[in-house]
Amino acid sequence: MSSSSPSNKETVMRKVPLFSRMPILPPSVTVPASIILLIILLALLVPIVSPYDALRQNLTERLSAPGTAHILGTDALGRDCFTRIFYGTRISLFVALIPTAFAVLIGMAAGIAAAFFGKAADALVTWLSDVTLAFPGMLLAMVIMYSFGGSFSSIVISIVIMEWGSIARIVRSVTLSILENEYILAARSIGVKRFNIIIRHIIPNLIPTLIVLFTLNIPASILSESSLSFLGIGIQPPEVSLGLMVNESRTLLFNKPHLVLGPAGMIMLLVLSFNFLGDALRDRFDQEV
Amino acid sequence: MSEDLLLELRDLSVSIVGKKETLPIVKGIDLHIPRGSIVGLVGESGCGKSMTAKSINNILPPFARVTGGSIIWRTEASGEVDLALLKEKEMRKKCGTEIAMVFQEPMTSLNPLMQVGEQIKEVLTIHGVERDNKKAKDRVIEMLSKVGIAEPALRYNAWPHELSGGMRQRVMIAMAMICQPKLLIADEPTTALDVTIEAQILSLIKELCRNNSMSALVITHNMGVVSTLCDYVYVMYLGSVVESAPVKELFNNPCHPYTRGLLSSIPHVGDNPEFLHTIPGNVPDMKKHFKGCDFCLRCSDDIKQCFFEKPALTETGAGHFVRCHRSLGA
Repeated sequence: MSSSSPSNKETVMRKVPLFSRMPILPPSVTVPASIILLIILLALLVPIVSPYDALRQNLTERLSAPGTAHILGTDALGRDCFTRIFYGTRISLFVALIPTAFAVLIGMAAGIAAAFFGKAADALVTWLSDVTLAFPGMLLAMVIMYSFGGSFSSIVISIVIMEWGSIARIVRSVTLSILENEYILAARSIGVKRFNIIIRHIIPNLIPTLIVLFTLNIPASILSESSLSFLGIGIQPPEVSLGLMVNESRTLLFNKPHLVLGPAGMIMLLVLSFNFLGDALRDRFDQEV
Repeated sequence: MSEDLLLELRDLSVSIVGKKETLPIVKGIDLHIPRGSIVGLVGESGCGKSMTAKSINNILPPFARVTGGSIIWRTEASGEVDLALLKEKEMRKKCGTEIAMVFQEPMTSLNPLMQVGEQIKEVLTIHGVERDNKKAKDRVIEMLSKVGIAEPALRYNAWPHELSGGMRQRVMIAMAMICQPKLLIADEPTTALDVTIEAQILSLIKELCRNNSMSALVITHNMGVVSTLCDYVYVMYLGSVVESAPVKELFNNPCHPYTRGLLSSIPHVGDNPEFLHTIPGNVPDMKKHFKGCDFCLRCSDDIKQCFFEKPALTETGAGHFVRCHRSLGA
């Protein structure tokens, strides 16, 4: 074998630019993804972009109509509604990412444990997820909120508890099907330890599933936080949250509908975007995996 | 004699352990693998040959268990060890370094999300054989060229889906061989490959065994593979060995009717193409206990005794064992 030919080919392979190897994404992924990115950008930049403060009351301008000064008008305390929506979106986005990530991580660990560590672990995890899934999610969240108090961390805890069970079940079944593959047997036959089998062989093969589970659970997290805040047991005033804004303006629904439709529309836009993104990703990964 | 044996299965039994009943799938087999020799294990699907192999390095599926007998492993380093009694942790240390395995399906035996070189390197790193990353990589590339992969440095970074079946099986063999194990277990290594690749892989296994003074246990249902590769053959039927002999003796003088059936099932050019020889009947239900010979219902030479008494494995010639009443002159 001549030594020159492999090195030549190697350089040829490396010259392929990164972007040409990246898949062309369909609009079902790009459209919701760009809406989400835009919302994230606006929520981050709102203190710079907006001249108003979300908490500063201005009673002389209370309940002013939408116009050039206030795009979506002001609420009963004269606070700019448009600015408040993006401050509320910050909470929604935080809730979308952090508790969902925790739920996916816990669900992943529990699901792998159930599939990998024998009957006892399987029975325990399945039983625990059955118990959490047996209660209606909101009821469980309300119980947690009442017993731990309406703090931000109890919102996170209740969302994690609501979501980990179904994630654990899906991860368990996908892991079981991964374990059927002969490369797992091959890994054992060359002496790979159980822990390394999980880290190097199972988790990488789970990643498409985890990405889809993560995006598909984000809408549920956003809705849970908004609902809890709407019911008055989530985010407490004067903090800003989309659900709370809907609650504060609900008595004005027929006179000043824009005060409700603004934050409600933002919840809908966020939830739908993440939902469509999750669906599109699931279709894509199902085809390829 | 026994000093030369690398591996000795003594009266090994493997059973499927259920809640209500246990179903024996390997019924007390004795199998010897001398140092430096290639031993074949032949039999039809479901006769327990893969289970026998998997019991050696303890990768039996969760429902199956070794229920009796011992697996004696003899090396200079550790002396005599019964692998059936080893703890999981110690067993994993031996796997890959002393005992390695090649599987039937090269398509699913490689993790699709790891580059093949990295997968082979994993064997070196997990056993701490080569801690230096650069040296480990060099060893992998050297091994890849030994198993006949062209441009090994380039293939190191290939993903499994970029390789053909034959190449993947070579990668599997490289993975099995990289720590220079003393025993290679090949579970139907060529079943998924076409005949030209099969011949290449078989000669590769044979060559690697000779060059590294390695022993091999080759599991197959293909008599052609046995004749080209093996020194000694065990024929299994329904969980027990029915005949064992040196390969030439077995092909020249098959004594058990099952072996004869297997050999005459090989079609030859010039035979009447409208008629393929088969062994009549099906494999009997393992759940039913039968006091006679397990094969008698499918046997063309059965005698009265076959229905009432199980024959014992008896030596009829030099190193030739048969489990049949007829061959004992009954």
